[in-house]
Amino acid sequence: MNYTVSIQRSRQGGKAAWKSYALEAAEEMTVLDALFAIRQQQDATLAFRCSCRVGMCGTCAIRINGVARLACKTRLSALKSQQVTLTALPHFPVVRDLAVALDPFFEQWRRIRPRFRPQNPEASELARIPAGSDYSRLTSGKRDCITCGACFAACSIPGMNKRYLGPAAINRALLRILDPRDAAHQQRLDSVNDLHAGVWRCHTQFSCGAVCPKGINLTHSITLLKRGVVGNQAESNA
Amino acid sequence: MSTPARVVVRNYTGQLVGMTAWLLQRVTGLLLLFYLFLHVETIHQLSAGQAAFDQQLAFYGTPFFKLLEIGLLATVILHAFNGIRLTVLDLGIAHGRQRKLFWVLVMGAGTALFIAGAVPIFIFSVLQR
Repeated sequence: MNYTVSIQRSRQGGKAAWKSYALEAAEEMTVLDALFAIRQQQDATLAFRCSCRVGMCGTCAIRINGVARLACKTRLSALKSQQVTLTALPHFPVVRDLAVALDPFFEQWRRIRPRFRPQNPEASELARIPAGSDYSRLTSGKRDCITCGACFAACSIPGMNKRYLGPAAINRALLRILDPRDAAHQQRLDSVNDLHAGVWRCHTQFSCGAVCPKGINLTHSITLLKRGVVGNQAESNA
Repeated sequence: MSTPARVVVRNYTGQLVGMTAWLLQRVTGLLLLFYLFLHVETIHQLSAGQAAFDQQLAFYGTPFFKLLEIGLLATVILHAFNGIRLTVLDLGIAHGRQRKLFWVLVMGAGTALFIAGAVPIFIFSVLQR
């Protein structure tokens, strides 16, 4: 099938310009394959990021036809349009063409203290998480984040509020808070309870979960934390 | 260069329908705020006497304003049903089915209620006047 792939290219001076490429694509071709084909056959100056090519690393996240997706997991045929537009992820500084720096995402990621802080650093026994436990049930499907930044790009809040933690960081905080071995519950709860940057900024638009390549229901994580914060304050006041 | 319009419509009625619901809530909220000011201004006419108030009400009784009233009904229904949807979701219920909740509760049940209210208004207040 023939496609017209329009890519927002960077130019000197920080301005962007559209450039279109005609491409004959095979049935199974992904957007990442298309980018490689364009670079090899038509324009060697095209810049984009990729690494694993199998949807595990999250490096190739770009905006495809207006939706943040992984280029390596998106087939051209699945787009159901022969006109394909590709732009860099919004809310991130563009390094060049489709390549962005994920600094704003990881700045927020660090703020929730993503590293596990054990209650007993000397513990030698491996943790056991029974299949029916609360931790297992509540975190099911929420542990697969690959930090691609698609949720952060799809969310409208970082565009208005540079301090907003973002869905992925909040989901990570939830995983740590629910972990019974974690020793930094209160600090993490304080981080997500920030009125101007935490869970209360979420507008329940569901865009984050809708674009997550791992299918994580991030809005549900945010809702759980909102309820957790309220429950924690009610306990403190009792 | 932009994404084709039909692709944008498909995005915002399918994958990103939560954003559409949020936009609808904002727009209908602003419309209701405008209506609230209009309502307060109308009630304020009472201070100018019964004649002024009756004149204002007669103005709102014209077929044009009855059509606007049908629009108000749609606005109230959309805002109320979407509000119920948001309350359910804030309780942590039906997160996995939020798209279906929008189409069934807000658009489906909302449209049924709108038709039940709008048809009598249109027949008795617009056509028969």
